[in-house]
Amino acid sequence: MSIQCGDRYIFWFVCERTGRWAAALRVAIARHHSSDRSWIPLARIKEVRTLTQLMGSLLLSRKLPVGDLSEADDVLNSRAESASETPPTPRRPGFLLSNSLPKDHPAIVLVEVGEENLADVLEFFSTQRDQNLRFVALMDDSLGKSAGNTKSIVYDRDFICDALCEAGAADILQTPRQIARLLPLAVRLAQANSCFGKPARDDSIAEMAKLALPWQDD
Amino acid sequence: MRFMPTKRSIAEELAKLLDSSDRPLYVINEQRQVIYCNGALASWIDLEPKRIIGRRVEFHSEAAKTEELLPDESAPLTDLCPPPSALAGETNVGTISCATRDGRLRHRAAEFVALGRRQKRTTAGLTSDSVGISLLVVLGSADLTPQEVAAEVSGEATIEELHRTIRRFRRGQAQRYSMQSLLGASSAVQKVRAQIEAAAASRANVLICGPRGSGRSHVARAIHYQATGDQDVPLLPIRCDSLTNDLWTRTLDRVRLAGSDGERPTLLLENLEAMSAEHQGLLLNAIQQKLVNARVVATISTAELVSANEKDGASVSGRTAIDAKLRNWISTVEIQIPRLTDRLEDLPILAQYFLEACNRNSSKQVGSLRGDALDQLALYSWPGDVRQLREAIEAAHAACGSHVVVAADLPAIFLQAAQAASHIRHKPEPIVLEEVLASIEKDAIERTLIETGGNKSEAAALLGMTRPRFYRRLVQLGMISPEAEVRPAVELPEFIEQEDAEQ
Repeated sequence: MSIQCGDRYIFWFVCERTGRWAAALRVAIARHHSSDRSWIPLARIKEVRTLTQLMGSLLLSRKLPVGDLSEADDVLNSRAESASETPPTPRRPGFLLSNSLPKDHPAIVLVEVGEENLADVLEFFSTQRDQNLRFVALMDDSLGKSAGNTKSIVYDRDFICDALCEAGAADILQTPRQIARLLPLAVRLAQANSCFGKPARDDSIAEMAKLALPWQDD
Repeated sequence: MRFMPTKRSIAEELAKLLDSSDRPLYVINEQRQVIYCNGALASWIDLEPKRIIGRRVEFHSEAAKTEELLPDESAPLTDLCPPPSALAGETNVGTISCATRDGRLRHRAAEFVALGRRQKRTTAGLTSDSVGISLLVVLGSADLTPQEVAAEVSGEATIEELHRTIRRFRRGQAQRYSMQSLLGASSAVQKVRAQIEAAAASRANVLICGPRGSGRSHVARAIHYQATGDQDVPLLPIRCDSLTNDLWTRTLDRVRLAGSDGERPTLLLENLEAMSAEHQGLLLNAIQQKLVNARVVATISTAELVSANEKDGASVSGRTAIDAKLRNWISTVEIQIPRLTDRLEDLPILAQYFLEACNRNSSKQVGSLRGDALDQLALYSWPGDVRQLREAIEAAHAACGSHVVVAADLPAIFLQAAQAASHIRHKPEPIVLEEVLASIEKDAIERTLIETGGNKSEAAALLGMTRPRFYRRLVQLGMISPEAEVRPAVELPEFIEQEDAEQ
């Protein structure tokens, strides 16, 4: 049984330096929709470049309607442009599908982890308390590599992965090719969230009717 | 007669000289055990020499507990371990870091002097690198400044900095989830604390039951950090409500592989009631094949547990039933977290804690809650438990205009609840049974239509109705408009319906 999603969607926040992970995510979602396989929730993708921008964006998205958020996007993008001379990411109209973002709306937050921000990401993941957010770590290629010793690369990447899991990462991706495996996570998150309507029920129709009768508690 | 010094006298003289040095120094043998340290080192890491000598050093980033919490003196020291490249005899300079009791890291430049040749031990045809060289480590006479540390870090292998980062993170986690973080003086909380200590000591599987928002996950993590200390034991938290097949398969593989290395990680299954039957089956299968080399700590909502008990293992409210075998396997130790309403004596200290947490990152500093605010909080039923209390205090902190939170600063729901509690309850309103039954019928029809993909004939058959009668009910219940229906409004004779059904 598919979920009646209406105009509901999953919000994806992607915090990365370049834009390659967000691009891969867009391709994966588009491919899934065009192949018309199992249902996945509609997506709205928001790209940021730093953890500070991500925190600001999350804060805004949980409190303001999307109209205000779009303005905030512009502000954040212009800040990013002035700070790092990175051109602002063009917004994809195809992914802007909702009029408002309720406070309890589910979202998946993807954060690229490198040597320079590992401590900040660990702290960020471990201090977030929103039940409707899921965090995914995107491992930078250079992370955990030490010169010339293949065995230690594997060991240290595993070690870092363990720490990221411990901090609260729901999944850890090593390469953009793995990004399609986040789509089932989005489906599960949507199924578990009341914003997407009633989840599938396992009890029988007779049992459901019986439970709904007013005298069943007596 | 010429005096010939004996080996013993030489060693004593040497020990005296080294002891009098103001530079901390120590020696580790081939098995990475500290066999000597001088007084300067003991005072630098704030431990007596007898508590250092004989202990192994290990290069990993696990959180180390303070000595008061660490009764086992055979536990390895992570502070004094030189980098693996130094243990392999490949580098002779670097830094050694040591944590102070307040969690701050101090760094000193170090020189590594190899005292013997590297040995290799062969076991069952495999060469083991566990036996290395003896090493004399001589530290600088003063701590490095942050600028010096930064310069040092930029020049040394990045991986060591990553290890330091993870180490700081784990130390912070261990403090965040310490026993002291479980606030409250009520007997119920004291019982939970005792159960956590018992569970941590036993290393058995643990099932944590409690209402949503009561801190089940916090208790689970407290058990892990209480049990593992600074041992190299990963914590693998899994949220069952967003668990995918791929992630679950990888997690089970991870647990199996981790076990083969000798470590026994903690697998934390949050909201076990949300785990699908398929994933439960995979876990049970792994348990039966003895492939789960992990300690399992699971959390479950009290409401789900009560439902499951009442229905003999079958859970309700849209959740999957928890397999009885799985539940028995996990619930070796069972911890029940009390509702906030069952321990109202803890409410003031919890509220004060959350208020001070709000002060931490704010320019606004609020001192306390006035009595009227606390009274209103105590009258509330707290369906969201401690999490809801935290959110209420955060809202009150934001609304507060002075240095004390008063009742008016609390969200309006608390005032309404207090007013409702002060009124005499009215008699329950009469139920119009026809309407109640109609709404149930409507729900059942809606769900049947969804399950049959909108096929009304199939839906009618499932509900034991003829198709015309089914259409009539759809119209009567307002689910379709009469004119929307293509078929004539007049009821067809029964035999036509039967012919259709046969076709």
